[in-house]
Amino acid sequence: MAIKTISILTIVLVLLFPVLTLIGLLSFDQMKLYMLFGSIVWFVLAPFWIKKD
Amino acid sequence: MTKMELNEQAQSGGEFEREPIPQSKLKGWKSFLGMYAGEHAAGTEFMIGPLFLAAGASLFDLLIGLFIGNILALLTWRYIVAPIAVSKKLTLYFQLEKIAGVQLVKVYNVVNGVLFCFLAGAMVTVSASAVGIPFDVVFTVPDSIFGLSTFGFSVIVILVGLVMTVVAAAGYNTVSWMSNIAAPWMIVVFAACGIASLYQMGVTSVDALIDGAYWDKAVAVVQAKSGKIDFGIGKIIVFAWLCNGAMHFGMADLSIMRFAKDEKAGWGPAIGMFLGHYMAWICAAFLLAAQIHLTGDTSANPGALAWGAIGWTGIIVVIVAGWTTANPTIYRAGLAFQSLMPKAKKYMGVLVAGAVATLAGIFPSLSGKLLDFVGLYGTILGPMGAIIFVDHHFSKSMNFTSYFAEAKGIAINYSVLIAWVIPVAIGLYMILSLGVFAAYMVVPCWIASGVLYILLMKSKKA
Repeated sequence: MAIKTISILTIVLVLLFPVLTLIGLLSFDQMKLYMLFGSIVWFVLAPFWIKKD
Repeated sequence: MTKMELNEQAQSGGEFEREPIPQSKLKGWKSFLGMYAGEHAAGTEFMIGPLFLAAGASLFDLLIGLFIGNILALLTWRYIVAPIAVSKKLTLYFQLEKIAGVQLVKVYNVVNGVLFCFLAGAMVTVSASAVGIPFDVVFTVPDSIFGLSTFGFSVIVILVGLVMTVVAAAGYNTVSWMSNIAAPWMIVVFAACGIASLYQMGVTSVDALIDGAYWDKAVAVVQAKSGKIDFGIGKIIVFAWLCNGAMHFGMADLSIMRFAKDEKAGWGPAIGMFLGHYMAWICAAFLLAAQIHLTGDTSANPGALAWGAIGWTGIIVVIVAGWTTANPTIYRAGLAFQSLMPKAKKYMGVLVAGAVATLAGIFPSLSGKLLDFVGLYGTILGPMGAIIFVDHHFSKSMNFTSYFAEAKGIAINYSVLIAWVIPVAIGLYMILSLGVFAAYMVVPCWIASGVLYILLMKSKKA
């Protein structure tokens, strides 16, 4: 359950980073770095709860 | 179970392929919302979105045109596909076999397989465009349809195609699982691409977003380079409506919706359509607008576009999106080819399909013709859906034999063959020789096939 929560939170953050850049709270380079990090976390965690049928 | 898995099962002869779905296996309409959600945010979206801008469509036309077109597509699924799917609970292939005969279904399968190969080829190109970025491999699009790009790019296409083919030949479940994992992330990254592009263009207020000056400037640059092209709201509506023509008018999604408890399942594609064929297309188009704003480069290279907006995440999303679209497509094309060589090893069809797809991927101009290709796809395969439609709705009232091939025990129902080939041949002539926009021919061919089939069946008192 915790893993699912963290991975969903991560994917929300992946969307939030460019929004923060757009409103001037995050630099463009930071946005790209954090998005990459968030994406890696998603692909590491999601297979634990998105199971093969 | 995902839409992809249901489709695969229907084509490969899985469970319930030749019998109606039992009551215990039926699903409520909400299941179909999820099933379709990831399906329409795929690798093709990275190609199609920028092509609207490259064709000179205005932002207003795009926003309104896509909305109307998506609604029409949704209504087609709801009122054309769902009633037949719920009533018969059979796959497209099995219904066609009963009406058209087993040999004609093989022909349909192979045509379908060849078209799948070209779609997969475009996705190999998309993935390769991203793989090449870290290696500084330039992706140029030659003027000629069968012109090659740089040597380095061709090598990357072959390597990407090889990997995709081997994975597809190895099995289906892992590909499907990977697609399920990637789907929510891809939808989010599409939206992120759009937001990052707006930042790059300096669109930081709602007023600037609505004003649309950034879009008009990009269109002006494209038109200064390529000349003015007519791509108005009518074309956008028809394209958005019929780009999945083979799935709804063509009835391919009977294989999915046969699992529906009731006809409300026809609303299932709603979320997927508006995420993929609205949000994702517009965000992908913003990528090109941002690139033009920053560099003046009007080439729609998906890898470079995503790299420019969100860096390494962009490279990953283009590779994953291309791969998760190409892999099942190669697999399905392989199954279609396999039906011609039933004694060959199970993976041979997939290897053939992968080779054809890779060959198609080497010619980057083909992927640049995706707007035309999907119209062509619906024009060629859609009419078979009309045959199923008239057989279901009009066989009793017009007094001709339903499931004619099954009733007569024949391998080819020539009425179906004629009703399919003649409208499609005329449609292809209009598209290829007279230059008619491909998506415009989907509905006329569909109607002509249905009417012709009724007339042929009535004329032979069948």
